Formats: sequence, C-alpha cells, structure tokens
Amino acid sequence: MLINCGQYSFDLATSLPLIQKSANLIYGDAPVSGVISDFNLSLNASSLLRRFVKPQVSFLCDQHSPFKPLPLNQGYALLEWGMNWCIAAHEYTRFLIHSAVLVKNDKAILCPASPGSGKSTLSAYLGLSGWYVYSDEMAIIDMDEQRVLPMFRPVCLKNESISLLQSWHPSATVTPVCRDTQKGDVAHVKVLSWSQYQQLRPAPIAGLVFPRYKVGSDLKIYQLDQLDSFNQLSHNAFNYNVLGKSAFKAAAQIVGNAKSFEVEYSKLTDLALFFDELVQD
Amino acid sequence: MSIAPKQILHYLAQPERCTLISLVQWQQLIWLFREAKLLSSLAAVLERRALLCSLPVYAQRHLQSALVYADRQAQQIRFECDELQTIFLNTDIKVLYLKGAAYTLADTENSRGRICNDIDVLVNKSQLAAAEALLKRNYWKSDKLSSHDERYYREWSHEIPPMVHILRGTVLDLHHNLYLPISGRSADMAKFFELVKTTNSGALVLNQEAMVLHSIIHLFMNEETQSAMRDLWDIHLLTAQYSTADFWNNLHNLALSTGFELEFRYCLTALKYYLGSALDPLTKNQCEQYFEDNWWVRKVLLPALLPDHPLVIGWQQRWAKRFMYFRGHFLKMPLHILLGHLTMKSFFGLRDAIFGKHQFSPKKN
Repeated sequence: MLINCGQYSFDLATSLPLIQKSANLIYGDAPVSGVISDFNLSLNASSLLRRFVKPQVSFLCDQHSPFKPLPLNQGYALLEWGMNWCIAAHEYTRFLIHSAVLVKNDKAILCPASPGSGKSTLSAYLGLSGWYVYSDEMAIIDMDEQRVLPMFRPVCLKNESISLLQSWHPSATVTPVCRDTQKGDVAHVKVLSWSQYQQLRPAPIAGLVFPRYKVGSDLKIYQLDQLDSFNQLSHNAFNYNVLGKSAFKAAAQIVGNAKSFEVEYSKLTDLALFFDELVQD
Repeated sequence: MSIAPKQILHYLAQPERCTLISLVQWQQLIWLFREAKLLSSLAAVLERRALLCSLPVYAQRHLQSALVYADRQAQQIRFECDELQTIFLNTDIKVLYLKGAAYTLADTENSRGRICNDIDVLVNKSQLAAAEALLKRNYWKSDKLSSHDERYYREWSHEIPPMVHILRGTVLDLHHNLYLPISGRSADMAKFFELVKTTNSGALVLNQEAMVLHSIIHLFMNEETQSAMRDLWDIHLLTAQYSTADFWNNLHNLALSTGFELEFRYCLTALKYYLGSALDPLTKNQCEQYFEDNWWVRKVLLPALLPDHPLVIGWQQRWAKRFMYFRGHFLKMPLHILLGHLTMKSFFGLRDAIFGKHQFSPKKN
C-alpha cells in the first residue's frame, strides 16, 4: 500500500492486518494514484520461531533495518517512528527540528522540546480545537524563507493523554493502543482530513515556545533572549550538524524573526489562550 | 521498466541518460542507488555536468540531500585527518591514509559524493602498538568485542579492532597491512611504503598505481559485496583519471610483482562488462588484453558485484553473492582456522535466525 503524507510518501509492504487497518484509518483519505514514493518500507514478523513465541515485527527501510524488532502489537507505532526516521536520516535540503508545529492565522508556533514536555498532548488538544497541526514531532522548514511546511500526519498520544483526548473529543479518530512501548502506551490520533490538509500553506514562524509540563503549576511565561533561544533551537535540530553553516544561518533568521518564550504549565486551556495571543494580527 | 543490471554504472558514466527517464524510473533509480551507496556519486556527476537543475523536483531533492550529506562527510574526514596529523606530528610514525580518506585528501575524481563509513589508516607493523597507545591517549578508544572477534583481529587480521573517537563518534580502522597476513598473500609493506605521495594538505597516501591496486585487492578479495558497484565505480574514475600507457604498465607490473595479477584481470573484466562503451580507448585496450571469459567469471564473479537489491538481483545472483562470501573467507584464512571461524559465525547466525537478531546483543544503558 502507499502512504501519502503530503511532503513525503512511503511504499509499505506488510502482511500484518493490524498495521494495514491503522494506516488506512489515518491516511485512507489521501490520494495515492500517480504518487511517487520517497521510501520503500516493509514491516513483517521477524524470525521463524518468533512467529509462534512472543511474535515480533521488524521495520525495514528498503534493505536496511535501523531499529530492533518490537512486539507485534506495537507494529503501527513502529511504522510511524520508522517514517520519522526515514525523513530525519535522509532529508538534507530542509531544516528539520524536533518540534511540534501549530498554525493559526497563517502563523506558526514551534514547540521544540524533548519527549515528555507535553507537546504531543498540546498538539492533539489544539489540533482538535481550531488550530492546524503541521506536525507534532518534526518541523520541516524550507531553508530559503524559513517557512514551515505542512505534513499530513497524525499526533502520537502517550499514556493518560489517550483517554484524556477521548474524553474531550469522543468522536476523534484514534488507532488501537499499542501497550508497553518504550514510551509507554501509544495511540495515534487523526487531526487533519486530506481536504483540510490541501488548504494548508507554508507558514512563517511567529513564535518559539519551549514548553515544560509541571503538575499543578500556574502558567508561567519567561521571555527568552535570542542567544538562549538559538541554543535550544539548534540543540533540537535533527540535521544541524550535517547542514552546518546553512542551518546556522536559518536558525539565526528564525530566532531573529520570532518571539521566544519558555513556558511552564499544567492547564492546556491557559496555554491555548497564550498561543492565541501570539498569533493575533 | 526495470533497471538493466548491466547498465547500472552507465547512469553514472553517461549521466545525460538521467534526463530522459520517467518519475517511476527515478523512484527505482533512487532506491537502488541509495542502497548501493551510489546516490551521492550520481548527484556529483550530474552536478558536474550541470544537469541537476533540469531534473524533476523529486529527483533533485533526493540527489541534493545525498550530496549535502557526502560533502559534510568529506569535510569531517579532512578535519579528522588534520587532527590525526597533529597527534602524530612529533613521532616517527608514518601514517598512510587509505581508501575513502585517501580519495578525499588527494581530491581524486571519485572523491566528490563518495560515502565512506570510517577512516582507514596504515602504519608500520613495528609501530602499530605505539600508534594504538598514542591514539588511546588522544580520545580514541576500542569497543569491547567478544573474545572470538578480539582474537580474529589480533591474531589473524591486517587491522586492529575499530577505534571510535569518544567525543565525535568517528570510526578509525588502524591497519598494518593491505591484506590479512594469515592468508599468506599479504603485501610486502616495505615496498608499498615506497609507493606513496604527499597530498597538498601534507597527508601521506598511496601513489596512483598502488592506490588503484589496493582498490582492486579490496574489491576482489573481500567477502562482502554490498558496496562492490561503488568500489568498481571508484576504480573506473581513478583509472580514467590516470589512464596513460605508463600508468597501465606500472599497474600491471605492480600487480604481477605483488602476486595480485589475477585480481587485476578480474578488475579489467568487470570494467569491460559493466562499463564497456563508456571506457576510454586505452582502458578498453587493456580490458581486451586481459579479459577473462569462463563460467566462474560469468556466473559468479560478475553477478556477485551487483547491489543487493531485488530491483536488480534474483536468486541466482544472490547465490553468487553467497558464494563470494565463502570464497572471501577462504582466501583470507587457512582451512582449519576458517572452519573454526565460520562455525562460530554460523552458530551466531543460526541463533539469531531462531531467536531474533537482538535477543543476545549486550543491553545498552
């Protein structure tokens, strides 16, 4: 089958019905005819004995396997992570930052942060309440104008945020939960339909917000100077060390044009109000 | 359409044919060349001929990405070699750069866009221990190996276990010969140390003939064939760059005097088979003289050089590659040692096939 993510597409060979079903649920409305794919993936049961005892699934990008196999029920999560790996390991014409990208009024806010900062929950929450999620994990930025490109991808929810999201939006499209992965329980939620995705355009970056989730905390906002912001941004870039000088220039431009904040929060509603302020005309 | 296996290198040798292919063909070409470690080399030749910008955006993006990566790697090689030069500056240890690092430092025709996994250097065997100790005092360390692998390197091999730079993660292979001493066919290194030249940056590399012969030895005596097309492309560009009557004479004499004439003949046979019409007249003439035509060359040696990708190989070629794998091992070691080595390897291979590949890998963290 073919998975069309807008900016990138993947040829997927898998005999595992669970993966096919989830992939159809998330990407089923994207067109596939006439699409040329960037990467050739396969996900299949790993070894002979393993088909019967504790079955595992292996991820292959063409003839190579960059990861260790995972238990069979984690197959779909492995596919999504594998797709991220393909892009991060091969794309050197665009600046890639480990970051959520949220867009409103044609302005993008980047949330570059380490796992556990709550950026995925934030993306899912905003994505289902009036914002466009260009990505929950990877900002893809064109080098010349430093605009973020939209991606047709789901948001990856972890642990408690899965049931939280389902209570906010009972009708949201969510894949079956992959239990006990490296990141805990994982499910993917669809935040864009293909027809919505088609309307999206590359967006200039208006704000850089480095979020930190802390239980019970009031919303605390600290403005960052350009140097701090630059350090954190480049630290979160996937391909900074390969792009070298051009990434340095792009990061400097981004930091120069956007406002930067560090934010501590516990309530998503508070954070959403602050985000709304940032993209006001 | 599919890519004709025999034509793979023609896309590199005659890049203008890339301007005529469809998007679907581009997809196949990119997948194949990516696996064969030739995508950035293709990007380099297309750029040199100013053809890159006339290609479909899809192809441009993948080619450009591969080239950026390769250029960055070349920059890192130059940096690491500068660092190594400094480390060895006040010693009497001569460091000779080999293969990828040497191509980059000598700025040979094949260096642009060439991917390499590690930096290969060679020192005199009598200075090997001193060189290793000095590197260890300068942030290079060896990973812990299984006792079998440790013994393989220390007793039988022509290199010590790979060293890794603690801060930058660069991998360094420290050699004391061009080929395994245990094979009985290792090169007389005193002789090769006379066949060297100094690059503009002051690094020591093999001279033209010795550099090409080393590439040939590496390609035709190796058990791994995954990068064979890349290596054959290297040899093509190097010989095309150096091709004069003198060069070919010297290369042939060197191959004769070091006992690698058969590999030299194999190489010319492979050049003729995979590049044919793209060769310059002098090289073509050499190929005619030394062409090997027998069942083993046609059915095993030549097909085994193909990239391990279903777009260009089927079961026959896969068997050829498997055969070359055993042959490569057989050339390296006397039979009794080889049997022990392969028993260990197949034990681990079988274990992984049954229980899954990473079940027994040492746990990280």
